[in-house]
Amino acid sequence: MPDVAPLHIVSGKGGTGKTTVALALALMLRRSGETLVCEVESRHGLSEAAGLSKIPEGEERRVTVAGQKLHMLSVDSRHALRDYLDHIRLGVAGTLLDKTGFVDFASELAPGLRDVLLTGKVYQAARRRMKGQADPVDAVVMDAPPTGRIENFLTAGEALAEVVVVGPIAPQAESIMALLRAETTRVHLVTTCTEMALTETLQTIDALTSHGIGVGHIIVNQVMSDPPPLPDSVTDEGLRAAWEKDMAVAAGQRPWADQLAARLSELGRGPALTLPLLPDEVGPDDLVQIADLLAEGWDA
Amino acid sequence: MRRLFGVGDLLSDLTVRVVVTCGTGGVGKTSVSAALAVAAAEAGRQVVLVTVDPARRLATALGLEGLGGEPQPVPGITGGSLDALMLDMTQTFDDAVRSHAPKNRVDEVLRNPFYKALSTSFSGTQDYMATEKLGQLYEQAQATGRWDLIVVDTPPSRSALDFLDAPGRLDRLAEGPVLQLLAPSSGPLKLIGIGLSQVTWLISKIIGSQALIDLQVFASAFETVMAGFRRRAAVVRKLLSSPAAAFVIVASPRKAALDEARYFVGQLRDRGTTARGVVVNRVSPAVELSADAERSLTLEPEAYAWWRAGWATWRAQRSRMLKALPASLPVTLAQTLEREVTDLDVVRELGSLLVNGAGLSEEDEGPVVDV
Repeated sequence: MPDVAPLHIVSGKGGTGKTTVALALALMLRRSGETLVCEVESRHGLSEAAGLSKIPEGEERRVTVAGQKLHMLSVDSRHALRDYLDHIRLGVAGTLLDKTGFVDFASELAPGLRDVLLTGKVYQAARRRMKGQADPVDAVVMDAPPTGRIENFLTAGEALAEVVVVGPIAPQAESIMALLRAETTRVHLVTTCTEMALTETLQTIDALTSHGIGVGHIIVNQVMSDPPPLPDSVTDEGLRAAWEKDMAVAAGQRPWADQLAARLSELGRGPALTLPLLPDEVGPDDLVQIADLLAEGWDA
Repeated sequence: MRRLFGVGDLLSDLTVRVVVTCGTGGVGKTSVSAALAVAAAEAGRQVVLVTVDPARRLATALGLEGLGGEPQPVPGITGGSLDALMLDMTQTFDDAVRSHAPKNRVDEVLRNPFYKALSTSFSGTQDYMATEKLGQLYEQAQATGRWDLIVVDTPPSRSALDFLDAPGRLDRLAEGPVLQLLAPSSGPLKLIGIGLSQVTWLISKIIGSQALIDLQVFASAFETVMAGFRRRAAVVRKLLSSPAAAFVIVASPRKAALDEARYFVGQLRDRGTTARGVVVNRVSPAVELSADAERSLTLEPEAYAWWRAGWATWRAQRSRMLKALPASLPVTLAQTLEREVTDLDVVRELGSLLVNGAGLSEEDEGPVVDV
């Protein structure tokens, strides 16, 4: 019997390119089976990065990205709560609860409930093949909240379990935590070669590990290469200054790359994967290039 | 040339008492907020900077170890003064409960499992607490005259507008049926066609009946706290919609950040406020070469290719900025710095880039040599 599909959770500091990496990872995984790529409450960042028109929230679509067919889903808490009520056979209650403001209450204030419902949607999708349901997938990629919020997001089930001991949501929260701690679930962290992003990444590795959540790859993105030597014949001062700045920026990455490598080896982890600095807007060819680069180091 | 955003004029305008920075994650909003605060302080103002970033990186940038929940003076500032503080959510929340709740109910609230989870979870709570802190600081500034400018770095939530909308959401939540339903002191609730017991039954089906009881205890004790929050939130809402508050949008030349900036402008306008301007951070303008210089560089193919790639990046950035940013919005560009913003000197450097302002030109000069 097939198992639950592996879940790849991609997080990273804001601006490090986590959405692009999530999309490229989905393209890489598509080479070995049906793949779902989803985002949680991130306002269509995924469809935008893929150059697609917005897909409606809560509705899974089949899309073509760089010539590959992917399943794509944008999860939001309102739809997730409705689906959950359907699931526990209280579907008609949705409208009623919406009227009383409970839906707002749940998504604004009830601690962890929102995050648990969001992850719950992804959890259902990952189990489709195992349960013999329609549209089975072999891998799920989640473009997750940034590292600043990822610990709270992934441990929302624990927070919820502290206040809700019985009722249908309690076992739901528990099985989600079990999925997140499973061997088949990995959190991949995207960073840049800067002190702030690396510090946050290392803190996140420690935090997730302490909750029993497995950290997968560390992906150093937007690495700038050294500029070629500027010949002495070039006398333009502005150009020389710009060149020196590029050299300084490229060289400035090195100490942080070394520090990361040292820390990862201390932790008994493999080396980080490295991706080059690409133009600000990535196109299909860039996504394929990133997918190829990821594939090279993924199983090493 | 787009209208230049005069950051220096804004910071020296004594009628401006609050500067709020809005922007999506990863654009350097925290660094820009610190740079604005340092520039204002060194121009002679008495400034307090509130940051809400959990990564504690501003503490490093300002040479403060363990920046706490209370304003602490930043050493090395000349001219005026600068205090900085980091929003400690749990502490702000506990303090608010102590000051707003009746004495005999304080412990009950602080011990309630819902309160504990709420005060440590990040979902939405941070925005309410940022509002509460801004309200506290503003009242303190009015009362003591310790500060004449508050710089607020908005929480890294799903949207910076969550912060702006927090006062209104608090009102809706308090007036909404759920809290009234759960708090017995509000009296019987008459929902059209819906019985009270049906709704509580439904909620208990979702979260369980013990949790419903805890929630009811929490809600009733919390009612009075809520009233205190709302009082302060009303002060903040009034302040933010007055000319004393200036909204500064922070973006980067990436498409997502620029789209977000335009979205903020629209959302602010819907709330009757105008953004003072946008700082586009981390731009990389290419060096313009004379035709002769360019021709001589073509003799070195590798170096020429590097320069052209830089030129192409800059041109793409500029056209993206011109397209995404509304023509009415004043703009200033801040170049990518050589070093990261991790000490006061770099914060100052960024501050002077902002104050000295580089404009966004609309002429499109390209490489002259075709290869």
